[in-house]
Amino acid sequence: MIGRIDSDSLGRSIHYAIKRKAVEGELVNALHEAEEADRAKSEFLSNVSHEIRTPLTAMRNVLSNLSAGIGGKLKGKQKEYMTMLAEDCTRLCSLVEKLLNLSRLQSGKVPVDFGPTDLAAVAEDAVRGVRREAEAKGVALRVESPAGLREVHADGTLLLQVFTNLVFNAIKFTPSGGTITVRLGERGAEVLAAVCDTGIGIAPENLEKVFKKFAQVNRKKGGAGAQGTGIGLAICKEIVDLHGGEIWVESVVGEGSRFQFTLPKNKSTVGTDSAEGSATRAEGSATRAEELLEV
Amino acid sequence: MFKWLSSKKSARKRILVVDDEDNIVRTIADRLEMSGYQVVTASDGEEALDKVSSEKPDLIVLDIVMPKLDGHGVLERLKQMDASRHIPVIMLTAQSQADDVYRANAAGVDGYFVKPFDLVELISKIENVLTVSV
Repeated sequence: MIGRIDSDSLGRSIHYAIKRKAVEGELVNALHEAEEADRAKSEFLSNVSHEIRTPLTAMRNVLSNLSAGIGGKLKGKQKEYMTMLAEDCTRLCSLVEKLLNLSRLQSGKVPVDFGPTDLAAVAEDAVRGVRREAEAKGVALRVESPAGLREVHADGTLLLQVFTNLVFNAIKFTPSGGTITVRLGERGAEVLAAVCDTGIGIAPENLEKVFKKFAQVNRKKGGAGAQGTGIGLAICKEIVDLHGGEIWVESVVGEGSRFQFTLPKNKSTVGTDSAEGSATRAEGSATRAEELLEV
Repeated sequence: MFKWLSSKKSARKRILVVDDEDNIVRTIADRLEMSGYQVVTASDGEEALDKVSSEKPDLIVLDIVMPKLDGHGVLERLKQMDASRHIPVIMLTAQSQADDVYRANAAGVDGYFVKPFDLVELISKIENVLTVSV
């Protein structure tokens, strides 16, 4: 019905229409800017990765060749210095790897192969990988998993990194004679994993900080955790977030810490963010995940 | 010792090492020679294809990011030609991007190392691949 329109409401309508157009324009611009920033960030990350890895490779190769005797047999101080260089080079490589890993995780560029995953097997793998460090320190390691624990919809490789980081961290802060237990269980629609240690513990005011990048709350010269970058737990958080789970820590100073995380059991409960994220990742990974699901 | 190595590898395998970073090529070449291999080198993708024709390597260690023609381009061309299809290729990358891995796997790569890799592991992989491909 076309009736008389008073000038006030016409004015308001025009005003809103113009404003809406302007807001739409701003949104489109903001989206383009965000996409451009994301592209620039990825490109930067890729370039930095290339520029750091290339000289590190040559350095590592030179050290490896000299240690292997190319250039003559090393003796005395030469040998001692070479060992120092090799150790520090390994440390640097590991730091770079962790930093690039974290950056890639944060930028959503890590390919995620979601599929049915046997969490107990992953936990056992992680424990096996760090057993030598635990033995060297005199710390006992064990995995407790209920029989018939259901598979989770997850990326086993990424979860191995979570368990490895958590257990390695626990070894670092647990004095000789202590015990580290990886405990798995179910809680409603989620699987709950816990890494419990009998270590030095974390002060209440520091509990919030541990998952932040470069946070090393127990860093003391020569003390436990004097070595390390404080990146491991930040990586754990990124990976658990990516799975739609939660990670947190409880601790009593002098008694130990318990790092726990949850993972949804089913594909449908995995957060939409990560689902969208994986869709933008390499096609191959999506196909592999689907193949695994069909098994 | 050296005599034993050379007599053991009477038909010494020839490896083509391709990377635009001279330091990396030289260090890999030195180690391969120490391990008893013959080494030829190239510093870009086009030179790599020339060397494959002229030197007929038994295995290729191939970097990805290179001028003229990148490692993926080289691998795809090698796999298209009858004369080079059978040559095993181990790729090196400084980026470890998922796309790189999938593309290389799809094209039929035999091994894949992310820089900075461990030379001992690279040599061991080369030995394994050559043993299987004999």
